[in-house]
Amino acid sequence: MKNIKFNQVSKRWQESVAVEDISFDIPKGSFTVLLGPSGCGKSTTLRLLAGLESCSGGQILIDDEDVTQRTPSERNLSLVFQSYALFPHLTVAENILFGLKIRKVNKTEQAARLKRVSELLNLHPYLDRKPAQLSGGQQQRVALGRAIISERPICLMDEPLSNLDAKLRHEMRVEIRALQQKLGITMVYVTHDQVEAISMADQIVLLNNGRIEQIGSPSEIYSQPQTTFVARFIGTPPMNIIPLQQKGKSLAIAGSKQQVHELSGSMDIPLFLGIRPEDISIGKFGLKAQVLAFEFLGSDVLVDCQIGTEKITIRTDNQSSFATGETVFLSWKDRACHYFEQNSGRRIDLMPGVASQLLSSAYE
Amino acid sequence: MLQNRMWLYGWLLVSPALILLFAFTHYPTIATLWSSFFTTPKGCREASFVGLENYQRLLEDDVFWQVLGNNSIYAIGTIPLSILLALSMALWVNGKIQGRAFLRMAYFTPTVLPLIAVANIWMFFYTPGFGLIDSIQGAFGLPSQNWLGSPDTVLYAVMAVAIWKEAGFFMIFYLAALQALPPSLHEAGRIEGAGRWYMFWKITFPLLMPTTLFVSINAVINSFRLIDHIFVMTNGGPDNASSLLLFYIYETAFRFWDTAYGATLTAVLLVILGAVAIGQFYFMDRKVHYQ
Amino acid sequence: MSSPTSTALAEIKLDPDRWLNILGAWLLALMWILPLIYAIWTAIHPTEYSATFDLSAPLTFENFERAWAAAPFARYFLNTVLLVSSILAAQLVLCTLAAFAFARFEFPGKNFLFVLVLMQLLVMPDILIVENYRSMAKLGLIDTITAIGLPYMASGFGIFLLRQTFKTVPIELEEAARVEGANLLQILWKVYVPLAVPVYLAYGLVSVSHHWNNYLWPLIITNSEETRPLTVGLSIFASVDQGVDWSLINAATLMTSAPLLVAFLLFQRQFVQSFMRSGIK
Ligand SMILES: Nc1ncnc2c1ncn2[C@@H]1O[C@H](COP(=O)(O)OP(=O)(O)OP(=O)(O)O)[C@@H](O)[C@H]1O
Ligand SMILES: [Mg+2]
Repeated sequence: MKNIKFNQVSKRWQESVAVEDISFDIPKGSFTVLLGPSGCGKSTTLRLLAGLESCSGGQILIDDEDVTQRTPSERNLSLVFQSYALFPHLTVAENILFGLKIRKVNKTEQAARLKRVSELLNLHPYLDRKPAQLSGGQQQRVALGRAIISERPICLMDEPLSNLDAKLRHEMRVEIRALQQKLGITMVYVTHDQVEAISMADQIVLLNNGRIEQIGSPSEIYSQPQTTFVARFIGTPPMNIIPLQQKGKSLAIAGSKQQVHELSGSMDIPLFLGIRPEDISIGKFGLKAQVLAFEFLGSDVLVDCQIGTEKITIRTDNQSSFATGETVFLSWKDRACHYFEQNSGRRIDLMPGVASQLLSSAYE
Repeated sequence: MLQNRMWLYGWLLVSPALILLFAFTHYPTIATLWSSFFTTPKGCREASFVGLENYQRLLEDDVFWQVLGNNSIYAIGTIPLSILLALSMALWVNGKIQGRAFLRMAYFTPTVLPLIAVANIWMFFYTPGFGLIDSIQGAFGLPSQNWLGSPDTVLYAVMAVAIWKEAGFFMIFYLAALQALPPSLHEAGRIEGAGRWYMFWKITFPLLMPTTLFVSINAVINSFRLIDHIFVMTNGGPDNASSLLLFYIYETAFRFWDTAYGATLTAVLLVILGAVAIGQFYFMDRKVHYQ
Repeated sequence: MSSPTSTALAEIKLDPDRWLNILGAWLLALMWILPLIYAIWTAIHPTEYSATFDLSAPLTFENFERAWAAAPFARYFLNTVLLVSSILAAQLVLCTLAAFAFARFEFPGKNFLFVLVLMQLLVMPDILIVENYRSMAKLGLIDTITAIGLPYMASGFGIFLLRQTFKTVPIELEEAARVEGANLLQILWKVYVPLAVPVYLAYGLVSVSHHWNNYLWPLIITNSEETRPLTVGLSIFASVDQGVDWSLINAATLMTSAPLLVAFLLFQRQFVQSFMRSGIK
């Protein structure tokens, strides 16, 4: 088990900046997920840590030792690639043992470890096959086997599940998480899939455009998004981000007179209201809205409504159906509201207002 | 620091090959041009600078012009014909023809036989009186002919051998290209009801253009390089009627030991090949459209 | 609509174009194979039958025995085998190292050096005989097997071919090996080389057949029995010693080409595919 520290790390290529001045800590034995949209620099960050790319600036520390200048093998970590990177000319057993052979670990030790790993991952029936003769899920296991047989304290994975189908992905998620806890490895895991991140991580590092948007546990990221980007990135469908208009002390949805918050004093910065679709309920009282569209998802329904000039998506398990143009009433709890500055997109915490109170009685 | 180490390793890895390459390809290329401005060293006499004298001699050398003419005829005669045959062979062997495996083997065999060895066999075919060609001609009541002995026919006789030797080799390149063509193209054409000739000229042939270009360049180089059979069959004769540029270089440098003039002749050959390279560059632009 | 097989049959039956094609293909094939058949015919029959094609002619092995005895063919064979194998060994090593660097390293001058390598595709050592002879004389290598092979050992074609192959190897495989602690040579030897085996095979076949058959440069640079390869030996045998004994010359001709020919007939498919592979740019 080792802890890892990124200290103002940057990576530039001639024309582009992939990672800009990022700092974060990865505690010993934790499962940290690097999350973000395509091209945001997740792989680059991981490869910097692996030593496959050299830093343009900053330091990377493993157990408080500066490893910035070390080669990948000197950093004592293992790596699982998105494409698995299995050697097509070697059998499953040879693939798993590749690193031990390079390091000339003795034969009995090799055999013992191979036995342990292949049993752990249910690979023993395939040990003599070539990678091309395996299914995607089995190849994935071989790649895992190659990473864990070295018994290195840190394991890095770059979108290891993206080539699998949904069911297998779910199984492997559970399996990888269990393996990490059983072996006590410090895991750094890259994905662009928020479900993967939320279900597996102890800590999520959310990246955007080469910068860190937010670091925190899955529940912090979900319940306390620090920016509109984070707010919309986590959760499906994404959080409604609604511009608010200020009239005196009251905040109303743009284009409508319906108040959603009463300020204790006046404020001169324009705000967004953020509200998750699953936190809105449709009922007999609340804000008046027109139904724009309606989508049936099985257990839930999605309803698109309009208030003023803004569109709001609602996810509800209310099974009644809605007609386009129908008038409905929306309400939500006060603590489901998030507020962001319109200019910077940063979270702003307002004093608990009177919104819930206001919303509990229907009025225009 | 890591970067510098990469540089060092890169250079270390390429240096053995590049040193040899330089020593036996680039240096002699430069040395050839250099030597063509000097006299041939004889005994204790050092080579002395003579400027363009060797080139002067070249212009006045009837044999040189004859050889250059021969080589042009040789190139113009062998290249299109062997490419055409290669293409036909490839189309045949690639289709569903009866005895495909035998045909492919037959076409390709000349490629693995040493040219110097097959020249012996061809010699016999051309032998006046009882050679194969004469026997066939005799059967039709035509007079006997000395194919290799007459200046009018000798060049064509050696050209035939070159075509025979090369066509099967070039077939391979067409075959590879044909097999890489997506079958959907032909299926689409068939659905549209296109005839076989139409399909060939409008679809297959344009798509084979890059291969044709590649094969043509190889054929041009080979028409200056493949001269082994001349040694066995004609020795350049009679009266230099079958002598080619490289053979003339050999004769000048290694029979008459006039190395300076040999270098001058080689320089001409290098210029010709350089022109081929420039031509290739020019054609490359068009090639891109087909890829 | 008729089924595809019945249309195909109809085409075969009705289409004169198709028949012409088959006829043309077979005529050409016979012309192409004829010299070989003829050589075999004369070589296995007594001299009297070399121009008369009588199926009842007696078979004999005598021509081969006489040819073998008439010139030091054993020595020529040995020389050729030494020559071909030393060229191939050197080519494999040198081209692999250089191709690896050109495919996966960044170093100043890389593009320029690669252009120099490609130059050899155009200006082959085959035509630089005058200056290369002079160099060999300076090096004191005239009349050695080394001198025959040296100009060909760094092959521009080989470097180009292997570079193309190495470039298709996914970079992750190399990175996986690096993370496991493999050094440069281990990466090359355990990742790149095994993945390029089919290309090595193809290149090996092309190289062996090319140098087995090479004539002009060995003719120039050798002048003794101890160094002459088969091609040069055969040409001397055919031109000087034998007059016009076709049976004998053809027996010798077949003998010199036999190893390649037999290998070709046995591994025909691989041969053709190898040449095909090496031709795909
Ligand atoms: N070798 C390189 N040279 C130049 N730019 C690069 C290189 N590798 C990555 N980049 C750039 O750096 C940025 C971040 O790339 P990175 O691969 O880290 O993204 P990612 O978050 O892993 O995306 P994805 O989810 O699509 O894998 C991208 O804009 C990319 O174009
Ligand atoms: Mg990535």
